[in-house]
Amino acid sequence: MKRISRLLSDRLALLSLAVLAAIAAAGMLAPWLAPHPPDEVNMALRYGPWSLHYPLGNDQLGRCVLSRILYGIRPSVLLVLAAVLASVLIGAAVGMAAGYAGGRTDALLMRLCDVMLSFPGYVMTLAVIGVLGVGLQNILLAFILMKWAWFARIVRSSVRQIADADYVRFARTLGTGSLAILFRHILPVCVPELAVVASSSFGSTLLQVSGLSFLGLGIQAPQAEWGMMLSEARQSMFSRPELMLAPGLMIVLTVSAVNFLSDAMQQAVDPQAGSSKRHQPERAEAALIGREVA
Amino acid sequence: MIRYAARRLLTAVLLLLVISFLAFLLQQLAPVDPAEAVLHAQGVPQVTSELIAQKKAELGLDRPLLRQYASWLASSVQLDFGLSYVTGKPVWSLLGPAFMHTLQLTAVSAAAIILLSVALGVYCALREDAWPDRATRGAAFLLTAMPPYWLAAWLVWLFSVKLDLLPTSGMDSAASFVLPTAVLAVGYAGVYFRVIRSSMIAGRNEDYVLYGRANGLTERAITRRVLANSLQVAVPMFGMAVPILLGSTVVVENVFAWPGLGTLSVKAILGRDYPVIQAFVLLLASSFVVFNAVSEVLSGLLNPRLRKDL
Amino acid sequence: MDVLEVSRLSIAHAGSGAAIVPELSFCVKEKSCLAIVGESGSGKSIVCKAIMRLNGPALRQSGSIRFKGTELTELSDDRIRGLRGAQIGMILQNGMRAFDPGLRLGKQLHSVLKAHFGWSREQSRERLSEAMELLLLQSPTAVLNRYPHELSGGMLQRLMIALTLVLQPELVIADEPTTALDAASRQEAIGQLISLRRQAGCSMILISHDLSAVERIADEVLVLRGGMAVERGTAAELLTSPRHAYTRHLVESKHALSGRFVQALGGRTHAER
Repeated sequence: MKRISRLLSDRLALLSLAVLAAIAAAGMLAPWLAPHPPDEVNMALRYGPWSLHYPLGNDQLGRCVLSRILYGIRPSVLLVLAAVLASVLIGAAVGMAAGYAGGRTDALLMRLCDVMLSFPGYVMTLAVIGVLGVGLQNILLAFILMKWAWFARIVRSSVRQIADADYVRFARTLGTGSLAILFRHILPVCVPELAVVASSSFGSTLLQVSGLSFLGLGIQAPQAEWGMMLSEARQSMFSRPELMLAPGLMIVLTVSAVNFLSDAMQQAVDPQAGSSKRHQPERAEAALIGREVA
Repeated sequence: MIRYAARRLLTAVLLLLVISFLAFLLQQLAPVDPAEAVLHAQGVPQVTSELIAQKKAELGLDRPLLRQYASWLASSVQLDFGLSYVTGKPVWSLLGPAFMHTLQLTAVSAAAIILLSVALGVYCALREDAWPDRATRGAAFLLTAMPPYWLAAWLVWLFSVKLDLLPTSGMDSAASFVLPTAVLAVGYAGVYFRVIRSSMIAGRNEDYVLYGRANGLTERAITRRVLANSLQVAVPMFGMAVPILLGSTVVVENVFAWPGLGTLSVKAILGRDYPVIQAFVLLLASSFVVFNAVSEVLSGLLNPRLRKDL
Repeated sequence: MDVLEVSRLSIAHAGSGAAIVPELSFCVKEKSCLAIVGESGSGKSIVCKAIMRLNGPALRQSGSIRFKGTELTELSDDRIRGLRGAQIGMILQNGMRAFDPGLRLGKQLHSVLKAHFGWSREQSRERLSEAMELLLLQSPTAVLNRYPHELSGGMLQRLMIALTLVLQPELVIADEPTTALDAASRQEAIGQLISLRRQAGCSMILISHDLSAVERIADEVLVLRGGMAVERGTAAELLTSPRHAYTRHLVESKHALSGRFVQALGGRTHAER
């Protein structure tokens, strides 16, 4: 609770959270918010300037840029978020299993994690797309395949750490069930760290997914997606560079907000990363006073 | 130390075997029959089932999986990855030159990244929280939130189109390196300089700095020591940057039409050219593993505390 | 004569202006040892860093600090750097952290000697070895070739003392020199500090809450609480008959602790003693 209130007292973090919430809401409400259908071609309006009807102008096929931006939130942000959440869940499940089971299962699962983590992410993604073919769902699948191992490791280490702690043993002797222990003791410990890692990987995945779409490996036309829109805008980059503005700025805005939030969470979790050391001498002092007489 | 290096090498080799097997499986998973694809690539007009069966026997595709893997691995080690489905040329004749081009871009960028992040890290650490530090961090924050291809497009627009100073694409002269390197360097240095900066700031609060000062050492000498210790932390980080760069030049290469692995691999994926994809995956994953092992051993050598444990 | 005269020293946070040391005056007599005693957070270390002007820009200090008649607060950065080590030496609490982990000890100590005396590596090595032998440190050459992590805290502490012996400063500030050590090394360190005083003929400020060390080394004691001097006097009288309640509390809690400890360990501690 303290951490959450600390997070909420950070104005920048609040602002970032608000921006992200607004973007997510806009993506979900796109059909109602968008002034035009996102793939409505109107050659008469090619490269149309900003106007009341088309607040962000028109693209090379006369489509409404604003509508495409709004619809683009779904694949560019919401689906990526879903993929991150999926890999967190898978990772948490595996980490939990490894941490609880211990012994050989634990060793085996962690070895698997090591192997997963020693693969370069980009190459794996390209390999998966190479086999399964081009498409956003394949990119996201590749991503989930890659990232769960991170989260598994975090959860596993907090489970191991806590499973032996006195209060959990105490709870166990009182007959509290494993699930109750899980929710009451283990999750609260690993959620903050999970949130920090997940949010920063959300930011980098957003960039990577848009990059792959930009290369034509992700979502296919005529669907609207930010990386895809940039790829289309690049064709007319020399004559109409302004078409690159809106989708690019949306990516910058979203990723910045995610990164700010991630940094703020890091701070909330570990408010004085630097000064924690400073307390150690005092603790050592206290311990040593006791030994003074020996 | 030698035992440690040997152990590290052994895990690297094991990992390479796992990776190569996965890369081998890639083709098995692919929805295209290799024999058929090769026949198409060789321009056979009428592909009949007899021809396919004949080709299968010729390529050894009717043998058990592990035997196939063994012979594939043996020829891969000799850089024989078979023929491209699309062009019909040997895969290595495409991949080899592309790898060299990407390696050149990676080497130049890695040098730029290391210089830039060390310089900025030290500069900002010495001016902690003063405006140059804040401005640099702010700029780095924005730049790292930017899609690299977007930044690349704007740089091309500014320097090539508006100012006509640099080439837009290709790899013709030293000037061709400037923009791709700038895009890669800015993205990575924006992350790495923060690591150096914070490790230097943390280092400055160490007791040995106080003791050095109390003994009358100059600030310059002390900064040099703090930097040396920070760089020790940074060496493995930079070591890993190289293989990561190798992989992530994909986007930048495509924007600048760099004749490297990135351009080649995207073309191969779009053309479903499985032997090329397979070789690409194997090549990059192997260099990743090798760099990983080398940088770990290297940082072990540099750090006396680790060296003792080895 | 007084080696060091600190008058109306006050130290505050530069940002918030919150005072750490409201106002403090004391002096250190020539060849004598002043112990500054107090709990952690009482401002002991900050006062000593203030003497050598080692507090960062986050702290602001005012008042006068005169060392052998020179006003330290008005010296240029270069001049005060020349004084540090050579005229005013410091010994830190934790030997394990006082040295650069990435350099061999001989190299680190040499860089200090080179800065002050312009000695060659051989000269430094020779003088350091002599000092280490005086302190009964075995195989000095081997020790100087080590990295800090390869030696114990007590050993590194002795190296700091050895360096001080070579530098021969007029005043040595020892900041909790015995706190981080185990009981055996602590006794040794106390002995070393005593012999340092004798060999170098220097004055000393001993910051400590280890009252047994204070008892053995110090001539005078200053009790600090919240940056204020609550009591001062000679070591002998202050430790046996403390006047101020806070000093009494310090002395008594030490006795109480040792009493409880002896109880907890049964008779064993007695036997060891």
